[in-house]
Amino acid sequence: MNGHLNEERWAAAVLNEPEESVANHLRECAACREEAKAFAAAVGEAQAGIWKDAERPESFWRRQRESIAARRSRGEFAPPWKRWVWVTATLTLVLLASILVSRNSAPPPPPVVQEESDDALLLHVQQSIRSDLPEALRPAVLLTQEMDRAAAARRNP
Amino acid sequence: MESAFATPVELATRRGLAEGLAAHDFDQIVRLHQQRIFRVLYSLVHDHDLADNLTQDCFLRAYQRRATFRGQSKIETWLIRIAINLARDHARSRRWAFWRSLRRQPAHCETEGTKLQASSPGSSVERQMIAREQVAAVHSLLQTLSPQQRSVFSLRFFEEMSLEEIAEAMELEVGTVKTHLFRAVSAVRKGLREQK
Repeated sequence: MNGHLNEERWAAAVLNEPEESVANHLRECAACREEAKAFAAAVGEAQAGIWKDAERPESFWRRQRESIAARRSRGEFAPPWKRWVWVTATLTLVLLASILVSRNSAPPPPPVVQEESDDALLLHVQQSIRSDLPEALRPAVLLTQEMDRAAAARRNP
Repeated sequence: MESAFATPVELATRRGLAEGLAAHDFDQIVRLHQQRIFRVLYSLVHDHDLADNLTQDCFLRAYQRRATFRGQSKIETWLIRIAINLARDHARSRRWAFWRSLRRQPAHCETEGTKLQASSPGSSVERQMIAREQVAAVHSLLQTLSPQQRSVFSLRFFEEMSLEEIAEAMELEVGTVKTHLFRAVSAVRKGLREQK
């Protein structure tokens, strides 16, 4: 074995499942043996402390049983924070669903108006401004002009 | 250390769980197991009030899911599994992190004192100081482990469960439990070395 126990063998030693070679090393190597002992002592102290701390008076256990029975009869199975998670999730889903429904039921968009080009629109406006006559009388004006030209041609052949 | 369970009671309770429990039967299960479940949870969360709440949640969840208990494991193992899951869920919940940090310190100080008296009665002052340091060191090192490593370590060293029992309680392969345990032991060993 090269020096002291590696991590895996050392863990096996403190877990009480050492191979023969590990057990031999622990017998021969004072440093590893002392470290294993110190580890076991520290963990043993912690265990004793937890057991002692977890001891509660009978009144504590009775109150705990009563509380469990009361919560069970009320149907309170989830811890309080988990109940809030469910409430929040439910509200979020309801909100999302209402948004989706409102989008689907929205009125159709207005029809797109065929827009004239800017030049055509400008020309149209200019013509309207220059003209003294309403749009509807333009054919009559053209006809009158034509008749005047014909009469002038008869007078001056 | 507590014995696991008396066989006739175990069988009767398994039947009860499978067939649907009467309230009285369930009260009996709570009475039989509440102390161990509380201790397992206390070793994981280091807070009496929190361990109390989680113990109650554990039994309520067990009652709610009693139909899923198939009797393939001991009831105690099944309850420990639920308790570990609750402790893990709780650790994940950031909602409680602030309260835990506030409450941990005084509970920790009290813990150290009572552990000291419990574990080394009549010892010298120097011995008491060393023990106190060891207890504090192990507790602080456990907080640095992952939830699974901490659970495996607690069940092995504080509850003295076998690797097979831990595997059953945590629904893991024995090899996986060993891996978590080795890593946890290595981390604690390294931490103890550095603190010397």
